[in-house]
Amino acid sequence: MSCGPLPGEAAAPLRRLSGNRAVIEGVVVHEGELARGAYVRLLDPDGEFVAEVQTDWAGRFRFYTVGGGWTLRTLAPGASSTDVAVSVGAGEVVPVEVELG
Amino acid sequence: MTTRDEVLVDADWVQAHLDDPSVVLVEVDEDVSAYDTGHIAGAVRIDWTDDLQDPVRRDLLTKTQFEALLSRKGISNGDTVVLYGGNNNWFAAYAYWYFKLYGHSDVRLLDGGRKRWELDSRELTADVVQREPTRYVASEPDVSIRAFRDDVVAAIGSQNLVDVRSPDEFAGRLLAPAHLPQEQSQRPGHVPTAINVPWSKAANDDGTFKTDDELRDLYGAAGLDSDRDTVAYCRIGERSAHTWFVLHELLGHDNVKNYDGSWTEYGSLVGVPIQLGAEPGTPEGGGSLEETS
Repeated sequence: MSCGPLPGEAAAPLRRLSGNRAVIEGVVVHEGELARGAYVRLLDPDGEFVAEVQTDWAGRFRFYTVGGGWTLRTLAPGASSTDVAVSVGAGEVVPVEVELG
Repeated sequence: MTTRDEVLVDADWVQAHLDDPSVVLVEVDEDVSAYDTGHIAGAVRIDWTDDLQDPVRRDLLTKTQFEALLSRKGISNGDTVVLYGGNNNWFAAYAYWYFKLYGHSDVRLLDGGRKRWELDSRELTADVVQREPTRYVASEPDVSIRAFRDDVVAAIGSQNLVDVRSPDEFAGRLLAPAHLPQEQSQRPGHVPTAINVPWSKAANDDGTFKTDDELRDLYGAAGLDSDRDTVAYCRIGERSAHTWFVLHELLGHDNVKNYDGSWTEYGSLVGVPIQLGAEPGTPEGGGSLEETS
């Protein structure tokens, strides 16, 4: 019963992707280190909030979504807000490295 | 009418009141691991799943259950309760609404919740917090801020209905937020004549609330008639508690109710009208996904 990240979701085995489902996952890096506890938002093509997760102890995040164009907006302590555009096709798993400024 | 300062505090205020015995910090989460890994010093935990729902029926706690919960947590009637949590304060806002429902006089939200606190690199601790149990006495529930399904049906076409889910959930393309499999209603769509103002439009990226002027512009542009009563709903009532807080507590609208049954109840009812598509629609409901996709 959650609208937030499942504990350990980014490290769990990938669930099977059916239909138009797709995955965007990756790590957040800040000053050369994996950033734990960074807030990663998934925004749709209109800039609308879809989901938000926090990176785990290894800086990882994962979104189950659908194929299309998305933006990842990342906030972390001591870093400026960073946007990364991501395109993912149906059934694909796209890895992303978010480098914070 | 309340003012922003009476219902919302910032991180500096909390920092300055960490040792104030009249202030009780309460972290409200749905992710049970968050509090254990770190919380603001002195904060007690209220778990959304285990503490704020009747263990058998789908319902809020009764007055007696709520009194037992707050007594167990060491909260007194005269305390200033400051709520905060993850998920951009969704569950903290839900708890705020709950505390108001049962008549707690001084309850506030930490603007931005855990997120703003963490982004400021403020201290979190894993220390165990123990407070002496109290004998909390709640008021009878104030149902003027809680909508039931019949209230929602009666509001179609006559009151403001504010659906705060994402546009895809509103239109009926999704039954739950896209990224997670969750509990779902039997049917997709929205309550006919509802406007769609996703909760996220009321908050900044760091989880703090937008200014009163920005909020007034947001709901005005979306077609909310401030002279009418309002029912806010989402899927399970927590995102809409966030919007209830904005409309009732920050903007001071009268007669705003949160529908905690929300779409998981409404979308499973037999015989009520449902509207598909991006438009509010007509009281009879109908529409289709094809018109808008």
